[in-house]
Amino acid sequence: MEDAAAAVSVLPDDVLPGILRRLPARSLVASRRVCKAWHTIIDEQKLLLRLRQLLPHSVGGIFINYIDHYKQSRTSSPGQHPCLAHGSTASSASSSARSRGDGTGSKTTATASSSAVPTISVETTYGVYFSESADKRTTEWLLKHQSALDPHAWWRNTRGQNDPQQRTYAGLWIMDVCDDRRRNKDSYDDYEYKEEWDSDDDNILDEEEEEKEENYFEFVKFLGFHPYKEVIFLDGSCITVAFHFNNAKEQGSGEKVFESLMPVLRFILVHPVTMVWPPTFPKWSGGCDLVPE
Amino acid sequence: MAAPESGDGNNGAARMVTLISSDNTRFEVEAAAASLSQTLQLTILDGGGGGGDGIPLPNVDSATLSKVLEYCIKHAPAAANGGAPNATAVDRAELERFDNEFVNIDQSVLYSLIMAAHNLEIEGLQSLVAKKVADMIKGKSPMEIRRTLGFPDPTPEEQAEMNAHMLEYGWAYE
Repeated sequence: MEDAAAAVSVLPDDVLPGILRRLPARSLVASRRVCKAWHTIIDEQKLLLRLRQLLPHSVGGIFINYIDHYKQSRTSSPGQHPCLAHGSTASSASSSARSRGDGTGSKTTATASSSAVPTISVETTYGVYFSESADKRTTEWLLKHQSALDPHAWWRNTRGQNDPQQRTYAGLWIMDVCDDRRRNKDSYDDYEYKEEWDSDDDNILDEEEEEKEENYFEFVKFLGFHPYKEVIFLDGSCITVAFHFNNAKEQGSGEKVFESLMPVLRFILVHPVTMVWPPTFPKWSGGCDLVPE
Repeated sequence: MAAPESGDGNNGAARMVTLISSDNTRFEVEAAAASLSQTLQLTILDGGGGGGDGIPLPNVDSATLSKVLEYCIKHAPAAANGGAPNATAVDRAELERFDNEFVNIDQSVLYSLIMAAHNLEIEGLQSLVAKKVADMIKGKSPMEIRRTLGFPDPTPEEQAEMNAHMLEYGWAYE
């Protein structure tokens, strides 16, 4: 029986694609982590790209430009409406404005100091930008998903709606609000973080994952799902990470969650094209509270 | 279905051919059924496999070949009709029921079938077994997939190597 079972795991390379290409994207992504051989086949045969559902291989970075109410509350020119009219967005990721405390946010870049790193102005449209060029010197940031990413919008939109099923945020992005209450330790404990998120599909979170969400919501703001559903975006004090479900799935809870974030964080440091400024990520490893102040 | 010795390949209307498994068991089947195999089809068209000759299949043992031929015999009439037009809903439902039961088998048998379908190039059977394995994978985590398909649990070294590999080759892809 042992031998027999092992047999399927050693299917020849020319048989495997026929099996793998029958999988939906999510299972394909899971299969990609089964072993190196499967990983190689899925990539070489471009099985994921064939589905046209996931990021192209050439993505060099992701930049998220979203509305940051917290920062705006500290700016010298506060606007009533934390919306597009106001230039002071926080580039969540780089957020050099925020980390320097000048709060003007007028020209925040998504880059580190290396000359090879592309720059992006946050006075641009809200949304998610990808850089798709492998050549870091010529990388351009492309607005892939225009969306006024607003962590509070979800809350505003859903206030008064008791039915969790109705709490959907228009568009591809589902937002959650998760910073105000946690500043108040007392009310934090009462706060129900496990809200229903759904996008255009309902299989995004299973219970297992929801439990984990709870843990890192103490430290990290949840920004939204990638529309293609395999990535969520999280925000800490001055870093935004794209975080893949399947990584988390294999990790434990609690501080382990941070370990599961590490590959992404390290990626960001290794490839400064993604937005870390300054690279403060050691703060993350201790599981300390990342809420500013 | 398993006929130890073939006739002259011409009994009744249907032409018969003989297939010889790796362990030297002879199977006599209708040429139409055996021709579901792309690999065998040309040989059969050329008149091979009849009489006492038989077509040797060194990669397929008798247990597997018997199973494969069970599939071919069941599917041959539909294939001869070009599949759809004459098939009634009842026929299709029956085939579907047969297929579902057909792959409800032990993993070792499934593996042998995958290999045989691949070697013999039996398209329908290839799809059927691939779909079966895909169904076994669906909805599972990487570790669950490993266990379902009988991968040994990765050693810490392998896990570390895999993590390093994933790090290098693109999380964004996921």
